[in-house]
Amino acid sequence: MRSGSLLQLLGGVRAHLARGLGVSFALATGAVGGAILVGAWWLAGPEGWRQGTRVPLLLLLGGVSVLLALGVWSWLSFRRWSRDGSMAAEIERTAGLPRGSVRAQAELLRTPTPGVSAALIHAGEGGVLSRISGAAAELAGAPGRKIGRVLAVAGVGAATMLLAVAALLVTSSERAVLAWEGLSRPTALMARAALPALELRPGDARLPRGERPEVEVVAAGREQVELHWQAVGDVPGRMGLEVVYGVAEGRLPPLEGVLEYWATSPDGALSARHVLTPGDPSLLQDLRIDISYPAYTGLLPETLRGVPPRPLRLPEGTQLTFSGQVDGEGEEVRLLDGEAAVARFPVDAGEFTGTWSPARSGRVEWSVSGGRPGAVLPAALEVEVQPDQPPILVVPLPGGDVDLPLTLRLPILVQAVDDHGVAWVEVETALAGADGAEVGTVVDRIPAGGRTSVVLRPVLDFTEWGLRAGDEVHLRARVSDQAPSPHVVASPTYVLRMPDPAQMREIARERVQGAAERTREILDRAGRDATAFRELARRAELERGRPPGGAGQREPFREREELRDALERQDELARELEEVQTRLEEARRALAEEDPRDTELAERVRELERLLEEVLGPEARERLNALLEEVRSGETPADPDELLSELSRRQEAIRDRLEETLERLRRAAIEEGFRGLEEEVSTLAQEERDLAQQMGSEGSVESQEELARRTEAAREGAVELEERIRSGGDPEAGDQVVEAGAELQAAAESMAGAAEAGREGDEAGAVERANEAVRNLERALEQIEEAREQWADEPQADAREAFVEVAQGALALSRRQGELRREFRIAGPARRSQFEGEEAAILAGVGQLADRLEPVTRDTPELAEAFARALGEAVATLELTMQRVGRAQGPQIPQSEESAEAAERALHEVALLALTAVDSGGEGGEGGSSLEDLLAELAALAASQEALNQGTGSLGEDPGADGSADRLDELAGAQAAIAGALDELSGHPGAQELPTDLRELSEEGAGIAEELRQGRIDAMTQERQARFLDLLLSAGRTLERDGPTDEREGTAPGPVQRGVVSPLPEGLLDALALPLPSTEALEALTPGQRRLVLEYFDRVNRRESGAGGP
Amino acid sequence: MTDPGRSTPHTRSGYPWHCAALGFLALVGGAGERALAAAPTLPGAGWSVPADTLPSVDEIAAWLGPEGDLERGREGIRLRARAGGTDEENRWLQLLSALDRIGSEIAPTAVRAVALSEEGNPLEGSHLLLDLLDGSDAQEPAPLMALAALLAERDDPILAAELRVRLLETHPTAPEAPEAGLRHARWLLSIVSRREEGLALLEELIVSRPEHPVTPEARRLFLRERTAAPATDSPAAPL
Repeated sequence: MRSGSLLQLLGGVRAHLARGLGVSFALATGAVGGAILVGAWWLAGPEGWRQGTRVPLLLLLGGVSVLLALGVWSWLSFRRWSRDGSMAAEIERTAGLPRGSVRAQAELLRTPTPGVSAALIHAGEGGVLSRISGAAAELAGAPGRKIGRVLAVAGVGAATMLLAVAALLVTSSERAVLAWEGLSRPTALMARAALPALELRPGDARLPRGERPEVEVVAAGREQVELHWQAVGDVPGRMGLEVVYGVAEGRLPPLEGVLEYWATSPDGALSARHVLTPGDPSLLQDLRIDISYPAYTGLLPETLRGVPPRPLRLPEGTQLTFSGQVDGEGEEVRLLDGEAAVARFPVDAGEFTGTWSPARSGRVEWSVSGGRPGAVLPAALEVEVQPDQPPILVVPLPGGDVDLPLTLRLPILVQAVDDHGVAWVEVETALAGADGAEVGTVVDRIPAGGRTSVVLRPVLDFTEWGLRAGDEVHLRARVSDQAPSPHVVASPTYVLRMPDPAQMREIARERVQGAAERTREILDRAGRDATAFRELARRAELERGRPPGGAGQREPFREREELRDALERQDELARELEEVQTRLEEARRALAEEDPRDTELAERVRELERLLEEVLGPEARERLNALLEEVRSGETPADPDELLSELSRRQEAIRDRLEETLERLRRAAIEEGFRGLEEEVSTLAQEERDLAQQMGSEGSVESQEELARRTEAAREGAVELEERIRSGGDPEAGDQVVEAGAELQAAAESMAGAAEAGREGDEAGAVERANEAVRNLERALEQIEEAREQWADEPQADAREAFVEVAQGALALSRRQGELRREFRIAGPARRSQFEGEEAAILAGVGQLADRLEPVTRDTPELAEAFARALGEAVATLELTMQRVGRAQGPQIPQSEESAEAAERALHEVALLALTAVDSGGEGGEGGSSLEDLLAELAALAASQEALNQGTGSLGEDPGADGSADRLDELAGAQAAIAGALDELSGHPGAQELPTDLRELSEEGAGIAEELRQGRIDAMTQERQARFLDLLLSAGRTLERDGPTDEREGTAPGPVQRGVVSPLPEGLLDALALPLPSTEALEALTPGQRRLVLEYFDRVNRRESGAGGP
Repeated sequence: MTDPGRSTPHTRSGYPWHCAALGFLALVGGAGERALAAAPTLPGAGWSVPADTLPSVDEIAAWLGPEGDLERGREGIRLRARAGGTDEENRWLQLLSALDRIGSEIAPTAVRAVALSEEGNPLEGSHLLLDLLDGSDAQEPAPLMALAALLAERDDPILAAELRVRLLETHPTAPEAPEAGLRHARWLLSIVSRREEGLALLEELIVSRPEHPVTPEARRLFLRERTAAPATDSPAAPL
């Protein structure tokens, strides 16, 4: 039995029906909406809705109609199915109850019949309910099933449409948006597109009277238009015109009076109204005006038909030629300026022609004598005569007085404009003399070809002018226009100044500092490149062994590209170095030569340039260029791997040299910083001293303030210098510069105090403070000088250290060689096999010695040469020892010992040289070694002179022998060569210590040579030669050592000696089988070379003669 | 004491420029033999040291003393160096290299120490220097230690080794230190139990002073010893 009441059961069935219908309607609404969207997408097309379409509205209306119909059906169905009777009948049918039982019971429950007890009603209800089972959906019966079907159909439809809409949105979103956007404004889409306004041609115009005016109506977007007109005093007229390609054409009636016309179109458009005015024929027909402009304007002739409506702008000198016909019997055509005729043109057979050149601006009227009555004259001619304007010239660069750049190449900019054209532009430069007058004026005129606007950017090159610091150059430009009387306009005179010597030195110093910074950057990159090249070369080396075409084998293209890249990087590096060098060179060239400070600075800068030049070297640069050209042309060098290795080695060498160069640059920059600061402080001190004496005079306060500012700037310079010194690792010198900076600060404060006192009129106080500032500056100067000296000692200390290390190293190697030598004789075979390796290690040690010496002897070629000689001997003897100890059949002990001992001696020589260099203060000076060289030179010259004396003596005995003249000439040449060698030796540093003046000795030798050349070989000449030899020997002996010596002594070939040494070999002269070289040849040699040559001849000739020699 | 200068007369002669010729011939390659052969044929000229001009040890000592003439003393040492054999020359030059650093108070004694070595008593000379070192009068003891070790080398290698250790410990950056390190390493390598110490010393020298002239020898020795089996423990071989 069911619970609840029967009425509740009926209510449940009704609610079920209502829900079903509601949901069905909602789903149907979704399906219809989807269908509208899909339909809109389909109907709108890819371009969207066209303006004026009604389809969106119809679609929407259709959809709404369907929904309305559905709604109405749903409502009516619900009304029908939800009635109690209808529902009760369906329940009865479903539950198998007697027809009317449910309905009766329901009615009884709603409206109890009077007299029927409630219990009975409820009993009846219970009886009915007990027979009803099932849910409301089942009890709904046929309506319920119908609603179920509708629900299914609506659901499927809604789902389908939803999917379709989603698909459209995804696949063609743009089309969908266009289509659906139209649905949101269906009425706007229905509106027609706006058409452009109607346009009439010719608009307002004056046309010949009686002519049928042709009118065009521009009516885009229309198919037809209507043309309306109305003449004054006439009825309106109209005509329909067909529009072809947007334009309709038609002819109005003949024009007899003023006529107004307009147009309309079916879309309601109305054009503006225009007026056509009839005109009478002109008295002057085919009027033609030919305009000839003056030649200077460069303008081409022009021709005008009729009188122009606007004023004619004519350059001065323009000629107008008038021609035409006079309608009727005209006699003369005149141009009138007021009452006066400015031009008259006679008429011949109805035609006239004539010229007129307007001299001034104005308006001229036409006048014709005769002509057809009623005809009108042309409008007045208005001319505007434009006079020629002078050109405009501006020189934006330099635009004022400037300092010349160190390149001595100054780019300037000249701009000239003229109304009719610029004839030429010229630039004038002149050196300002001492009195301000200009000398050496140079004018460079550039034709402009009549251009109205000219821009010139010349670069003034003063490199050949030999300008020096403080010189001034005057610069001005001129321009001329094209005209019968040309205008010439000149620019102001600009002064180009070379900085004064102090500024120039400052600039040069800045350049040195800049060069150091730039070189550091280049070095960083060179270091990275060196690593990259080494890696490249190593990889190439690894890949070299692999089979061609195999894995890891490099392709030729890649090889070439790698090479090209490496070469280009080196090329770039070389160019950057050249740039640094060029900047230094510019600074050096600009330095004045008169001032020793400049000369000194220029010399230092030149040295830095040379260092930079040596970083790559001309040969390497040449090879680099050749390789680069080869690789850029697409060729692969013969052995790319080897080339890569070469590049890698070269790059490392470049890096090493750059490191050294950078160090030199850095030191040079600091040194110049010191010198610049010293110079400035010294100048400040002097100026302050002068000012202190003039304190109280006019302008002294301002001068004092200026000096204070400069002192403060010098202090800042000291701070910068101190930082640079400290970064270079010399804190003590840095500390002293700090102290100097403190003094400068104090000086600046004193100066400020002096200025303050001066302003307050306290002259005594001002002088006192100024003197105090002077004392501060003097102390600062002293400290800067001390700091510089201390700083300058640093490389000497380094050099000393290097020489001490070399001396110790050479002695150590010598000791090791000595130990090995002692083992040669006692060693067994096993030990002997090791000797060669040990000798090689000593040899490598000698190489290290050379490397260590190279940087510290670079500036002392003589010392470097001495070391090279000693090291060369050490290498030679060590190699020989290696060969001897390494021979397969066993060492040749005595010979090995001999060469080993020679090697030890050579190493001792190296040590001795190094110790001598240490003794000379680590400056790499020659010291004792230099003196020894001088001694050796003198001894050798003495030996040569001795041989020469003997030759002279022999020749003196038989002056008439064959060939004696030639021999005498040879002897004179040898004597002159010895004199020349002595002259050069007189400049030797050790020569000052000699008791004999070598220059005087040289002059004596030259005198003897002259006597010999004149054929004088008498006793006096020989005596003079002997005395000359004595002096030569005594000079060398005195220097060499004190006390007696058993060395050779000069002997004069005089009678006494002749007796002692007699008999001299008969063929003594013949012994000089090899004639001495000529004087010219000997003079071309250095003293050392000359000595070698003379000794060689002496030795050979003596040996030939059996005269001795070991 | 006899005057070593008088007792060992010696004369050498030669042209400074023949060295240039030797260097040139060496550059030609394989010409060392010719170079050496050429040297004795050169005539006597240039510098030479006649026996009768050789300064005595006392003279040199006096010149190098506080009241002397340093330059003359140096020249005297140079002359004595050239007058002797290569070993003597080496010792005199070693002394010459130390002069600036040991000071004029000590220099005369150092001269006598080297002269003793010249006379055949190097160990006595070494002890003379040791006495100086113990007296702590030297401005810089490192050169004296090195010289003392050099003189003791032949007759008392243990003392020489001790002096080198002292030098290395107290003055590791002295110019004499690299050679002392090499020699001490060689000494240590000869003792089986201290072989690793010797290798470590060599390695330190190679790494810290790669550009010193004795480093190639150190490198060669290091490579050889790294691959060789340790020998039996035995007294040090002559260095």
